[in-house]
Order: sequence, then structure tokens, then C-alpha cells
Amino acid sequence: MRENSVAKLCILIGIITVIAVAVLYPWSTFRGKQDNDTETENTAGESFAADETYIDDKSQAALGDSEVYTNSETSYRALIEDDAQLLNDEEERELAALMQEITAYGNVAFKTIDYNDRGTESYARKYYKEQFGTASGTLFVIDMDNRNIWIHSDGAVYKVITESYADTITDNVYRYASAGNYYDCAAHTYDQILTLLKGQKIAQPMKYISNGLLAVILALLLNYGLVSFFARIKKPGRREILRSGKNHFNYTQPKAFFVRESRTYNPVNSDSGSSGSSGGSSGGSSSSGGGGGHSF
Amino acid sequence: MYECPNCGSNLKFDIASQQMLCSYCSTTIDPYSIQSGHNAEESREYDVTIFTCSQCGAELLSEDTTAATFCSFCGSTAILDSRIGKGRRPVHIIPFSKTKEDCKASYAKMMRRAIFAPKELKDEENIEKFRGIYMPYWVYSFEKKEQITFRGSESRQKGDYLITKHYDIVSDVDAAYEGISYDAAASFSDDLSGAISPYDMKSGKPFAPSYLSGFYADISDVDSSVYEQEAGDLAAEDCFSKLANDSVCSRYHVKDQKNAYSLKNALRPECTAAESAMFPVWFLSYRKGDRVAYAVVNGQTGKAAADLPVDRRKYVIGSLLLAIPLFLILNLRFTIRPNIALILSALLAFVCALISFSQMSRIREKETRENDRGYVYSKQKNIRRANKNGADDSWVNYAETGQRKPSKKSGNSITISQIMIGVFVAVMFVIGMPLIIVFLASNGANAAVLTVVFLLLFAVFTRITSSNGSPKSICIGSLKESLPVLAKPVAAILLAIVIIIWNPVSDLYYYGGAVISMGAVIWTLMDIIGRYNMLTTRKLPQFNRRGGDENA
Repeated sequence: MRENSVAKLCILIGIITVIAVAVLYPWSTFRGKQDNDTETENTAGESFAADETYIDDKSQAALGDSEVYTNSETSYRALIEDDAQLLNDEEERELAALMQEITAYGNVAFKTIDYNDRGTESYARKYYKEQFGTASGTLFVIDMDNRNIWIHSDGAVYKVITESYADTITDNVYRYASAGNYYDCAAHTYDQILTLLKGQKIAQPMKYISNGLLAVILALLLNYGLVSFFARIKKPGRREILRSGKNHFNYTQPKAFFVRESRTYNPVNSDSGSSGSSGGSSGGSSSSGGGGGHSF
Repeated sequence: MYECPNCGSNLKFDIASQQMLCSYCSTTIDPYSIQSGHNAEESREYDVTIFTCSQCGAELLSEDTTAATFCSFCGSTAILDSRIGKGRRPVHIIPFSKTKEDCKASYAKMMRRAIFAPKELKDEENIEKFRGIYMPYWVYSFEKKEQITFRGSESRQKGDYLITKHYDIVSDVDAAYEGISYDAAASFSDDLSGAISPYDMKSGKPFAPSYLSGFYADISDVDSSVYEQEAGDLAAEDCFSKLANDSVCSRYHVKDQKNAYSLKNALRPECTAAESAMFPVWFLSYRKGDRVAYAVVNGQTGKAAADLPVDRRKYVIGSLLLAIPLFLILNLRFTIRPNIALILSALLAFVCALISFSQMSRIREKETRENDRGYVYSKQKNIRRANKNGADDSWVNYAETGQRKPSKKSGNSITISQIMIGVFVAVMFVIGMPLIIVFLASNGANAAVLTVVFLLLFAVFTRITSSNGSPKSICIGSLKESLPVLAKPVAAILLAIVIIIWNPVSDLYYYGGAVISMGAVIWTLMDIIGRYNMLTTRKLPQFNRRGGDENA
């Protein structure tokens, strides 16, 4: 009996694992394809260059004020606009060096602002579109007005730096911004973005703790549902009960005899019903990108 | 005790051959050909040995004079007192046709799905304690043979008026229902007896005491009037379902609520007989502390039912194993933000509070056995016996007249209050929770306020629907019972709300709150399992049957 129970548990876990694999395998394959087959994923003429070490320092001279680097092989650009004056020159140079590596995968921008009359997300989306359109890339914004940091990505990079990862990265780095270490905040952000673009993992300790607790609770609840369902003491229905006895029911064809007629005031609703909705939905943003952020 | 005519040893009823069998010389004898004592055909009583449990007062009848070694109802292993007494002779008996091995096989099949059941419930030694007991039943017969008249109508719209023509519909009906049975022992709970029903009365036989040899029998202590109305309802409902589907009845909308009552009333059959009978049940009890769980198997059909408590250790291990794939799925699919983790923990705490609340009311209902009509009848009979000057007869009246006590929750049917709570919960989840999440995305404080409002509404709503309607019961009610049960999930929800309103920058507060809140949820779930075990077990019975034989 005991072995039987353990076997049942194993079967149950096996079924759940198989379902999980069946659901998640296509997604994982897709992710893997994004990481490994970058050349073929380019839809807008951009490509993920495999040679991530290529840096052309000489092209620096031809760049504008905010543009710190253009990758000659991929044509992706790196921008730094420190309007809030959070970094010194040395920090900007170091950050630019870090950002250059990301241009192997897409455009990259760093923007700080000390005035913003809208939400950080909205600002980031608009800024990204102005700079890069819908091309692949990522933007990191430090919004001093809203005390918020935000990562916005688009194109092929967005398929790696998803909203979830943008949230995770900003969760990991917001403490630097809270402490006033804006360079560390930006450097760690780009470092983690690069790590993900290279197909490696970043630390998400609280994700695992939360998911662990959540999984335990869900398992306890699911098992409670299972035992409640199987332990139900069900009574048989009327037909089953009566089937066991000797029963018969015969009747003659019913005859109806008119008794009276009644009239009830019941006006018919003359409304023709609601008209169909007119107009289509607004076009919305042409950008397919998105991101995540954190207050600090 | 029946002696073998060949060797003088004890004859017992043999299930396989359906004959009396001598285990020494293998002589088989027809059960009707042997009688103990005087002419049983004409007597309304028969001689039996009555075993009384000194612990719970349960009484078991037997044709065997050897001492019973344990009580089937409370699981006590104390030697039962025995005395010679008289048993009331039932009209019918359905002999055991499923052997103990069949019974054990049916039980084992049922237990395969009880993966978290305590190992004692699957223990061979314990299963060996299945005892064959003939349970007393009332077998009702109903008849309706007359011309009936009931209402019908048809309507049509004419201008701004609805024109309805009313008809009297006439039909000759000939209905007979025999063999609708209900258990007549207070010791045998209605839920278990219902679960292993029905018995096929077509294979019933006239009662002969010899059938009891080798088995036990419970005493009948519930009056036939107790279940008469319920049995009549069953027959009437069947007649209604057949006649109302006739083409003429359909044309005149007999099923409509305003007409249906008229037909049901007209069809109500008369009870022509309520005969006592003995039905075979394989009975097993499992005692742990002051709780007992029963397992029963229909001795005619092999249908099994049981109280299935949960072994906490097994449950926790099983849940942790299940948590592994869930954890992997969550990690692959979800990255939970700190604020979402907190709100999720609050929602789970809310779900736990709902489950706890539901369990509380079900435990109250189960412990009092207020819906077990046979038990209620027997209990009140004992009270009346003890207090001849007139005790509270309010329960007796309901039971004796076959009427249901006007309880908010009746049997397995879903009451209006349950529907209202269900609708409310559905509305909360379908409308309320998305609202909270949307608000959360924009403003945590708004979401928190919304959550508090929903919780307060729910608290007031459940108090109103679960109280008897008086202001005092709405305000106070069972606060003392509910408080310790709901303290943990409510504390988890409040903690989450405080953190959301506070809205700190550091994620540590969110994660800390979420971890504490989820810890409270897990603790609550452990309590839920404890209460689940209360729901799937029973209080040790106290029958107060001592002091006389069955007819006393």
C-alpha cells in the first residue's frame, strides 16, 4: 500500500513535469534560438554580430555630443545624455566602454533627466523612438524628477531583455541609485544586460525565494483540493435509488380543460438594441518594445 | 446459537452458499429450516445476545454468545458487557452476499485514491477488523392510483398585453414505489448509509434470526415517521419528472414554477407501508485520540465509503514533492515583482481565510449532526426519556413529523446563503481582484484601500448570511470561534496592506512582508488540514442506550 502511494505520487509529479516540459519546451527553444542564432533573427536589417570584442575607437571623433560610439560592423550606436549631470567625465568614459560591447547586439543609450512632466516609462518609450525608432536596442533612464530608473528595450534585444528581466535588473541595481552611486547603478545595469545578451544568467535570489514559497503554497492548496475532491462522500441520485426497488408509473394521456384567461400589461420594449461600436481602435504605438523599472 | 444436527457445533451463515454451514462437518442447512426457541414465524421478537460497550454505550445484537472483543462504533477494545435480551423482529432481511474478502477488495480499491490517508487505514491488521453488521432500515412503499388535476397555462403577447390562458389538466395515474430504504439506527450516520445505498430489495428475503449467526446487528432506534416525507418526496419527484415531460404537459408549461407546485402536490403518493428490514454492512472503525473514522462497505453490492482523514506527514511530503515541478514552472515562466509577490501572498491568505471560514461552519454542522435526522430523533428521544417532565421538544417535533428542522443548511442541498456567498466570491474574484491589480499597478494605496473595503464587505456579508438574522448574532455570532481561526490569514492580509500603503522604496520590505505573509499562509494551510481531519472524522459516539433491551 505504501509503495503504491509513493508510486502514485511519482506518477503525479511525472505527469506535471511532462506537462511543464510540453508547455515550456517550445518557449525555451525559442529563447535558445534568440541567444545562439542571432544572425538569422534580424528582421530590420540589423544583425547580432558574433564578434563582441570589436571596438573601433577611431570612429569616436566622428560622433556627435551624445553619441559616444558607433559599431562599424553592426552600425549600432551607443549614446550617453547625462542631462542631470550625475556622472563625471571619467565615469562617462568608463560607462561608454562598457556600452560599446552592447553595440554588438543592438543600440544602447544612457539618459539622465532632472525634469520630467510625464511617467518615466512614457518618457523612455518616446526617447527611444526618437533616437532609434523601432531598431533593436536598449535604453537605461535615470529619472531624478520621479526618482525612478527604467530600462526600455526593443527589437531583437527586447526578446532577451524582456520586461521581466528589465524588472529584475532594476530591482538588483536600484539600491545604488538610492545611495547616490549613479555610475555604479548604470554600470551594473549594462553589465547585467550584457550578461543576458551573452546568454548567461544573472542573480535573482528573491525570485527563487518567492517562487519557492509560492510553489509550496500552491502545492499545499492543490493537494487540499485533491483530497477534498476524493474524500467526498457522495450519495446516489434519485434514479439510482429508485432503480433498486420495484417501481412503476403509468398515466393516461393528459387532457387540458380551459378555465380562464388573464391579461397582464406587458409593454414590448421598442428599443432596437445597442448600435454596433463604431470606429476601430487607435493605432497605438508602432513600437513593440517594453521594459521595467524601479523607484529609488 | 444454532447447533449442527450432525456434530453439535456452531452453525453459521455461509455467504458463498447462502446456507447455514457447520465449519467442522461441513453440513449445510437452509436458514429457514432451523429456529431457536419458540415459533419465530409468529413472534414479533427473537432471542439475542446484546453486547454493550462500556465506553460509548453502543449496543450490538448477536446470535452468538461468545464475547465481542471490540466495539465497532468507538473502536474500544474493552470487553463488552453481554446479556440475553430480545430483538425486535424485522420483516425483511438482505443476507450478506459479499464476503469479507470481497469487502476488503472493495475497500482497498477505494483507498487507492486516498494517497494521504494514515497508514493505519491501509494496515492489513486493521482492515481485518471489518465486522459484518446487519443495520436496521425502514423500507417504504408508496402508491398513487387516482385521477389527478393540476394546472397548466400558455401565454402569448398581444400588443402591450400578455394573454395567458389557464387550464386544468386531468390524468389518471397509477404509481407504485416499493423498496425506498433509509437507515433506522442513530449510530449509523445518514451520510455513510446514503453513500453505500441503494440496496436491491428485489433480493430481500423474509427475516429469519439464523441469518444473523456469525454476524452482528445494530438496534433500530429511529421511528419510521422520520424519513417518511423524504422517501415520499423521492417518489413524487420521480412521478413529476415523468409526467411533466409529456407532450401535453410541456405544451401547457407544467414545469413552470407557478404550475409545478400544483402537479407535485397532486402527485404526492401515499405511504402504504413502512417495514423494518436488516441490511448487510461491513463496518470498520479507526480510532485516534478522541476521534473516530468509519469505513463501510455495502454487504450486498460491495459499494464502499469511508471517512478519509489525512496523515499530515504524508501530506506535507507529497506537497513538497509537488512543489518541485511547480517551482520549476514558476521559474521558467514568471518573474514576480516584490509588490506582486506581496499582493499574491495577501490573495492566498484571503483564499485560506475563505476555506477556513467554510470549514468552520461545516464542522459546526457535522459536530452537532443537525442534519442527521435519525440521530436527532434518537437524541431527543433519550432526552425525553431522561426528563419526563417535558424537555425541549422542538427537535422532536421536526423529527417525528418527518419535517426538516428549519436549518440554514440542509443536507447536501445548496442553500440560498451558500449561493449568495458563492456569487459574492465570484464577483470579488472576477471584478474585484483585477480592479485591485489594476489599481496596484497605478497606485498601491488605492489597491490597499480597495482590498480593505472588499474584506470588510465580505466580513459583513458572511456574518449576515451565517447568522440567524438577529443584530446580536450578526455583530457577535461565533466571533470567539472565528477569531483564532482567521487570525493568521487576516494578519497576513493586514501586513500586506500596511506595506502597500507605506510603499517603501526598498524591496526588502516587500519581500520581507511577502515571506512573512506566505509563512502565515502555510501555517494557516496546516490548520486547514487539521480542521479537514476533524471534518473527515467524528466525535466518539455516546449512545446512552444502556438500561434495557431493544424494546425497552
